[in-house]
Amino acid sequence: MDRLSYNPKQENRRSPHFPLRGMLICCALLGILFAFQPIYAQQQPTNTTAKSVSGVVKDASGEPLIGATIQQKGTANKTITDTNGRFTLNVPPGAPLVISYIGLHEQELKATPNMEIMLGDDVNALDEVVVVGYGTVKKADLAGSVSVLDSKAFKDQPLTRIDDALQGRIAGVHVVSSGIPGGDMKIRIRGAGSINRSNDPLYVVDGIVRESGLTGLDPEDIQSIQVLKDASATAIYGSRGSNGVVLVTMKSGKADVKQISFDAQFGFADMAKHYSLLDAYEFATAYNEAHPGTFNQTDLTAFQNGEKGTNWQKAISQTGFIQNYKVTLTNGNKDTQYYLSGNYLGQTGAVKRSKNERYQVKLNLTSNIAKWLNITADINASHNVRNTVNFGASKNNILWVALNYSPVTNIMDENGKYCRDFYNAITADNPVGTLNINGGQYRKDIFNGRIDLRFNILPGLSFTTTNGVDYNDTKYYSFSSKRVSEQSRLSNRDGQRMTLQSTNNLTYIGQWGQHSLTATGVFEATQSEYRMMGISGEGLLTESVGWWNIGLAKTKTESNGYESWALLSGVGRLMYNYDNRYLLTTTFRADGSSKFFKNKWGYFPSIALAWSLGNEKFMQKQDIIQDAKLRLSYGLVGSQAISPYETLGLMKQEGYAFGGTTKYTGFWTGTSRATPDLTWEKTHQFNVGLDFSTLAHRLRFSIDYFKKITKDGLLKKTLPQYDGGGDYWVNACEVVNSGVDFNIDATLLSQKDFSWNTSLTGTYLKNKVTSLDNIPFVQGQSPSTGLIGDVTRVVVGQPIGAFYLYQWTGLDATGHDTYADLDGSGTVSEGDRTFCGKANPTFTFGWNNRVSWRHWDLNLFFTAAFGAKRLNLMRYFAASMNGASKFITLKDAYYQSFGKTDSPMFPAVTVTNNYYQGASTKWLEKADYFRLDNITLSYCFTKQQTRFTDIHLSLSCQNVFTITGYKGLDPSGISFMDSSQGSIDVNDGIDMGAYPLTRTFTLGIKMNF
Amino acid sequence: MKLLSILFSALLLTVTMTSCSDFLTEKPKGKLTPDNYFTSQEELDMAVYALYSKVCATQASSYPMLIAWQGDDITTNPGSNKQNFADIDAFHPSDGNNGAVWAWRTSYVVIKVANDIINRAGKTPTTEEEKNIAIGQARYWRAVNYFFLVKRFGSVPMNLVGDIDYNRPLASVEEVYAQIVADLNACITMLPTKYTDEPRFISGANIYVTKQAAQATLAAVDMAMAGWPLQKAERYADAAALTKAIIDGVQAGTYEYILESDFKNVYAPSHNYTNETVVGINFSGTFKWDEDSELSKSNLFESLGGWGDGWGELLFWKDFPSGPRKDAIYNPKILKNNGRKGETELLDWWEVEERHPMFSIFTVGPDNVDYDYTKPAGYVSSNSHRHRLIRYSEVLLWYAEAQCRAEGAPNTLAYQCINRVRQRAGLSPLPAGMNASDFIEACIQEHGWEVAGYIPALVTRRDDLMRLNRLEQVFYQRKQNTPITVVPNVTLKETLLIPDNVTWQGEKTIYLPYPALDKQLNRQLKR
Repeated sequence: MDRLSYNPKQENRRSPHFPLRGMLICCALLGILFAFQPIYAQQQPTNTTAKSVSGVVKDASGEPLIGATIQQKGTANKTITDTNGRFTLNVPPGAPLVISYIGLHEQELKATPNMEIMLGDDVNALDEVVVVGYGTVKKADLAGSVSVLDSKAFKDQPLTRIDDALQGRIAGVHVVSSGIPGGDMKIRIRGAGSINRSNDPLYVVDGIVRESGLTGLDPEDIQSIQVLKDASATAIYGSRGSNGVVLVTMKSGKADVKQISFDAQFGFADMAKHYSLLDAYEFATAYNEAHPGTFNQTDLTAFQNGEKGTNWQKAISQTGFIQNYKVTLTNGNKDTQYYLSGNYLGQTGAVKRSKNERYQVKLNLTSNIAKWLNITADINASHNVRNTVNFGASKNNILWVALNYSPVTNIMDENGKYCRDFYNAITADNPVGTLNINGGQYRKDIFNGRIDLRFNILPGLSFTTTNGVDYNDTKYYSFSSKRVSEQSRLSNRDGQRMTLQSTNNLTYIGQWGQHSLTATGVFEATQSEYRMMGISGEGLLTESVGWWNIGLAKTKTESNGYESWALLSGVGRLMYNYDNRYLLTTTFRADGSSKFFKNKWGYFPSIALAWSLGNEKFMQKQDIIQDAKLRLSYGLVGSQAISPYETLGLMKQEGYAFGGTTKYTGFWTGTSRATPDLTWEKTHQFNVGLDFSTLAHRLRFSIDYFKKITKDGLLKKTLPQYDGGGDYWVNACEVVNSGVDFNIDATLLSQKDFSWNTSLTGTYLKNKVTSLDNIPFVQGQSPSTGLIGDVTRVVVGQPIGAFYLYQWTGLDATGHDTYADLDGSGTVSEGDRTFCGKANPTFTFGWNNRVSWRHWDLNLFFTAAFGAKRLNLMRYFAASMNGASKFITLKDAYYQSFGKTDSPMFPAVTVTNNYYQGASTKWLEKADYFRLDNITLSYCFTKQQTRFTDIHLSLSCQNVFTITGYKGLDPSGISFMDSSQGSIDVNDGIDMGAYPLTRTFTLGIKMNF
Repeated sequence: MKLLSILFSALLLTVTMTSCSDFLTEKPKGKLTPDNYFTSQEELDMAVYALYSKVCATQASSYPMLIAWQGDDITTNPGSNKQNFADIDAFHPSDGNNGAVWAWRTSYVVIKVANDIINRAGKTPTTEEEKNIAIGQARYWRAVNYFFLVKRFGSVPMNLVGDIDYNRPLASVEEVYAQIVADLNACITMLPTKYTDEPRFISGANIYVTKQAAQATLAAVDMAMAGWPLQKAERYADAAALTKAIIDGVQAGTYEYILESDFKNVYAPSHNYTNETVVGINFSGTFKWDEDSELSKSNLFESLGGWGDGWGELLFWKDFPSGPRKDAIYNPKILKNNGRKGETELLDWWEVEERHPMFSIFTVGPDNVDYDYTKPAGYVSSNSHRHRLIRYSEVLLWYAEAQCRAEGAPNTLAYQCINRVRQRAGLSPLPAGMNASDFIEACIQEHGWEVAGYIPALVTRRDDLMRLNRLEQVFYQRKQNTPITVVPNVTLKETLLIPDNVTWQGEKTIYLPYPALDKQLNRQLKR
């Protein structure tokens, strides 16, 4: 019988009328959630055959379980639930039934008509299967530290990318988003250990390492995310494991589940906050104070009437619109299953021109071709288009420009040319013109393909060969016009990366009496090639061609290049379990990397021990604590995060045009050196963890203490500038990350119609550089050369990327900024700078709540962070008079200035000889915050109500409110510096126009046919 | 068994695919390695191109040239973002000052590239003549950059090999000068007097360094050695001989140098490749923030939409004799608001917010045409202005001064030389029969006016003041800050002041501090 067809005889039919109306009203009144209570007309079951029972199976949160097994005990008579969690089974009433679902507590019940069965969610989560590198393990058997994020945790929440799901939901993981639709992310697992190179975790999707990170994947396709944190878990990834590993398991078809679903989301995004700036009239008045007679009365009147002048913050912003559509088809029998999905995501941001689109398809096919052979083929292809707008740390940042463009400037003059600012941001291009005419676009095509062949050689012994390709091609185009900029310019660039991976895994699973053993041996080879080509031109003979005709550029610059690396690995792992009480996991990985010249091979062992106290007899005599487990692990992981050829000391290409328009190509030895002895960065990691639950499994704790010591850290050692400068790689630094991460899950309420699950994650992290060899310090990059020096610095005893600033000591009696003279030189000098805090929070929290009441679902997700600071250069420039923003635009900087108030913070606009210094504590702010990150209310109409499908409706609001003392637009935002400028962890915490926090309202509809 | 054979072949396949011994060997396609370099004339040429690219970087922005602000010709805005300029102008730069950091870094990069050519290009399979040209360029720019360094920092570490030494000792001023002289003498013997093909010769000007350019440079070095701190007065005779040889060469038609007839063309974009330039560095406005001269907005005041980095000092302007030279170096009048709203009113500089004379050396018209102060200046922030490190007028003045100092009285040629320069500037010739010290003083003044505000000059006004040991006077003059009546009824004072707690400390005040980074890497870097 087709389980998906409509069966009017089924029970629990409900009238569609009242809930539908209720839903609509509730959508409108999100804030007063429970004020309205819809009335349900509960119909009595009709017409049940004497020989069959039917019912519905749900999980603790009231969610129907698809594919739960209902079996008449001791017989082969069984069925599984349909997409609504419903089943019908031909058994005599009173027969014993076993209801089971993987990961949930099995139940035994007597068959009765009209059954409503709830399987305890998570209560026996210890049976849940956790994906670890190169295999899976039951959660109960896990000795290392692995966090699991099930897709349920962000169900119905309008996430457009997976990275967003990680923030606050996994202990030990810290996510900083640039906020830009489709833009950069900074994800750190238990802190950053490397100074000069990326501390991004390794991303592994269904066993294949993904160089393109998580871009191009649809969160809806994700089954679960596992984050490997301690060395026992990460050492299996050896040389690439030191920053933690994010394993993503994608959805696949299930046997006997046929489903078509359609999903659509529509959202609107607006800037949640603006800076409070002078309007045109106020600006002109203030400007006249400093530069008398600049604006006459006619001007002033026009500014006052709004006839002239511009609110630039408003002029560059818009209401962003998000649309996200998704179709999934899945079907399968016991031998062959498939999962096919397609997705379109279109996003425009709250700043004009910012736009991101994703077209994506995925196909997964699994088949048991023979008893001894199972094959899985998987394809994920996506096309991603993103408009680029400068939100980086630079004076070309569009928000910086908008903040500093004087409000007395009009957008356009009478001739249709974009006006330039003559009073304040004198070097910047018109921000509206920049957004309207200039701009760039990234087009990224990502293809991932994989074929797994699993040979079941003997009972318990299997061999799997996984062969995959990760291909991505990025095209970048940009154009700027003489109507806005000094010079017209175009560029085209294409970079293509192809990574091939072959993983061959032999696994044995055996059990004798109280001993069980899983042994895994893997041989893996990876090769990655990158090819690029680029052309750019200046001085376009006609601009109408945009970026499409390099032939019209007066001067051209072209480049091309190639890079490749290879990695060869052998992996072994033993997981031993004695009587479900004592667990031992040891792993060993040997990696050979092409990136090192002599010392290619690195060896990475780990060991983990766990004691499942809960299974000891003495623990079973009490009922206060359940499932207690003590875990202990130690291991060595590595990093090879240098670029290919960096140890070779290659010559540097340097062109020179001798004043002309074509460069003569030149070569010199460059500023690097051959470093044949360079080798792996090693991180020793120690972890101790405790898991337990109480109140009959309803309150579950997991807490870990960790210490990560990075030794032989890859560090760029500075060469003396008198010998030509530059730097070269050495294995020198030592960085310690230590901290605690915890997770508390609670089933606060678990009743038939009403449940409340809550989950609190927290991380305490301390990062400290303990050695830099003989290098005195590593200097951060200046966010904007010429306007401000470096503001961060790495030294021993401080965290990576500590702020290194002048200490502002207030205004003196004459209204001038003063700074502490720490070196006693009598003047403001380098020696007066000192360390003043860090960019990364000490504590981060995430609190996720899920409340279900009948067909209603409410999700509330809070995040918080404490201990981080931000250098608010937006306020600095808007409140200071210096070269590139030579007057003020910030309201406070005028009304709270010397002579205007009793306790002035800012010098008067008429000040001279004032020393404005951006690299000072005056602009350093605490960035602690508490935020209601997401609220989602959803309602489910069952198929019985709608008569054709079940419909989930949801309404969400993201970034509902933020409680913070931070004066910028987003306490968690930072301006990402161009990665060519060095590590984001060194140049951290700078707000020079971080993408504004946006408040998004999203309406979602999901239909399962 | 079928299964096993499939398994076996799969394993075999992966192992053979990867076990080739070179799977982990890097093959850097498209890249060059230093060991296999200098194997052809083309590679030799490319090495010189890279050298010139680095030479260009020593003056691309104003930062490496900030030391010029010590001079009495130029000051800056006491506020705004001019901290680096202001601290040098007021004689108290910190070891993080961009003037010190950039000058140090960019010069040593040139030295590194030059060392590589000098020490390794000899093996190139090409003619001796070509090798001499390449090595001669390298020795020349190594000499010039050590000259920059020794004038800016005094004792500096000297690297001629290209090795790395974290404990490299400081070479004394005398040692550094000895090396400079050796390199320049080598250039004089190695280099030709004329080039013919691009890029060595462009728009009628020798771009590569010639023998005569090396002679002029050595003359400047000799003059510097003759003054403070080495005080080797015997070098004046050498300077006189070198400059005389150039003047003779010009008269004989062997050397290309000229004196522009109209001073307004000396720095004009329309005369960018003028043969008044003896040594120049080429810049290309095409390559923004890369190979461009980033000075075209630096003279234009901030209140007019420029950067306003360099302001004319009041007293120097007041003493500057009127004439076409003054009108070309300073804005005679300033167009109100730079005419951005169509204003045509011309103001005196004391009516403009900055209340300082405004240099117009680097200012250009819209689209980089020659600047006409009655019309709006262009807002181009960088262009192809060729930096004139040495001009022929300077060679003439150096001859005049050196000859007089060497021989105790000016000869006829010395008079002719200085008077040619004065005549073009609209000044009357010096009266015959001046005593030596007056004549010398006249030469010094004249050179100061010739290069006033021109920070890229090999010998700036500041360098003259250092050579004459007069920076101390400049220091106290600013300390006192006597009001100056610039025109009747307009009395002004300098706005950029030396803080009370800054005192004159001789050498320590004259030289820039060693940059903080290298000071921390090498403890020997201290005064």
